[in-house]
Amino acid sequence: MVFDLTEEQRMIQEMTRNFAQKEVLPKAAELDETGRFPEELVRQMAELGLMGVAVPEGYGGAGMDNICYAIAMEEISRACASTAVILSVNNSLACDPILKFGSEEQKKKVLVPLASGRHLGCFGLTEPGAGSDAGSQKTTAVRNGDHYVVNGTKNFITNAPQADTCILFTMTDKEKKHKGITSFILDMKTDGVTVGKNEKKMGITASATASIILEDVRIPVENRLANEGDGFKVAMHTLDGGRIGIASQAIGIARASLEDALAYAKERKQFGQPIANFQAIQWMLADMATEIDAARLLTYRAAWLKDRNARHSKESSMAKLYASEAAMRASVKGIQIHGGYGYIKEYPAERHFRDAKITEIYEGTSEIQRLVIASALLKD
Amino acid sequence: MRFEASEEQAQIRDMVRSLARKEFAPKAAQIDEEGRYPEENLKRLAELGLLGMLVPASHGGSETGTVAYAIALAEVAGGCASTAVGMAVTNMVGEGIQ
Repeated sequence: MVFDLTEEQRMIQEMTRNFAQKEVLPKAAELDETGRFPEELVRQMAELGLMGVAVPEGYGGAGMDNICYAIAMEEISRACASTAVILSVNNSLACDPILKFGSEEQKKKVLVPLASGRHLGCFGLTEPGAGSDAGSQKTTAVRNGDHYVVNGTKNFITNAPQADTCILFTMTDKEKKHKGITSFILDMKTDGVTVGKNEKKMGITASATASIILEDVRIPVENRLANEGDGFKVAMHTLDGGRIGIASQAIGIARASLEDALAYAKERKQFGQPIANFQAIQWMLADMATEIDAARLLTYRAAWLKDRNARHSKESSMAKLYASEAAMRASVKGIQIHGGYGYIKEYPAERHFRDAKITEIYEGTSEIQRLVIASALLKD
Repeated sequence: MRFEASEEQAQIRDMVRSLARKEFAPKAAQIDEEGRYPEENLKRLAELGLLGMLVPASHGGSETGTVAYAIALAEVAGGCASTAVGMAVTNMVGEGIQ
């Protein structure tokens, strides 16, 4: 076992940390407050090669490994969790399924602009009635000659208003249940595609979340991703990778909670001394730091397995479950250390709390992660 | 970063796992009940070089490194935690002296 970062991993850590501190962090409070989509940051991240970190250079990406991706996600999220999820969805949920399941032509045509950041991607799996039960897709795709006709509604889709491309899941054979699901690469400019209003969210407010309404949308057969009936497999594989990104996002939020609380505890004086001198505060800081490290090791292990093309469903779920719950705990402690100042919006502690919560919900709730982990344990 | 066990670490894991299952676990309940010091278990660990894993060979240790030590200790503890703490303290003392 080797626990140090490679030169490339250290390099991207330094680069993304600098970028996040200088360019992203100063805007985080404003982005949270206004819910403005940080277009200029997305453009800057594209220039830095962050929109397709683990995509080979030949397909427009940065050609790095998935630990580099986890590192980049953590650093961006440390500054702004909204900006980080825009990055994560593009890398994990749009680029990765095309890289894994796409044809050479699809990679050239769709992956190159996504990975290079010229286009933005989204992932259309969730529906109003299909959340954790992702297999019960109501959106239908009916083959008609050289195209499919698609009808349905997708819900809570991150990046939907800005996205050029959607990895879309549909039901092509209801009788076969989840084995009747088929995935497509949808050009969001296609006739019949409407994006709903931007949802008002508790946290990650600067990342847009909207529904996608599909009315008689014609998708050419060559835009089908993998074979008919492979859609559920595509979705599950994609989420195994996506969870590495969300785990890293959670770690970034937890680190923000810790670093802000640490700085505050050293400065804030009560009873004639900095509150950092009190064991009650020290214990909270110690727990936060320990859980962040544990979460990071779990996440790097999952990323490392993915790089080796090894199975990593269980490990990704463990990383995402632990990191998201650790982020929630850290953000609660961060507020507590700040006392009354933690509850007001002048300090970022409350933002971390609101941002942390979503990591326990999207790309599989904590309950779904536990289900994945337990079913792997029972199979072994 | 590399998360796989080295060949030596994997060998130690397999060896200690089988030792803990076959020799330590069957006696663990009895040792616990009687509060008897598991002398024979510690002797077995000594024979296998598991009491000086962080000590150089020139001083009688097996110098397998800390990751291998952690792996071995977890396996022993899986069979008998009383035996494991004897092993942990001995390794720690050995490291402290050298």
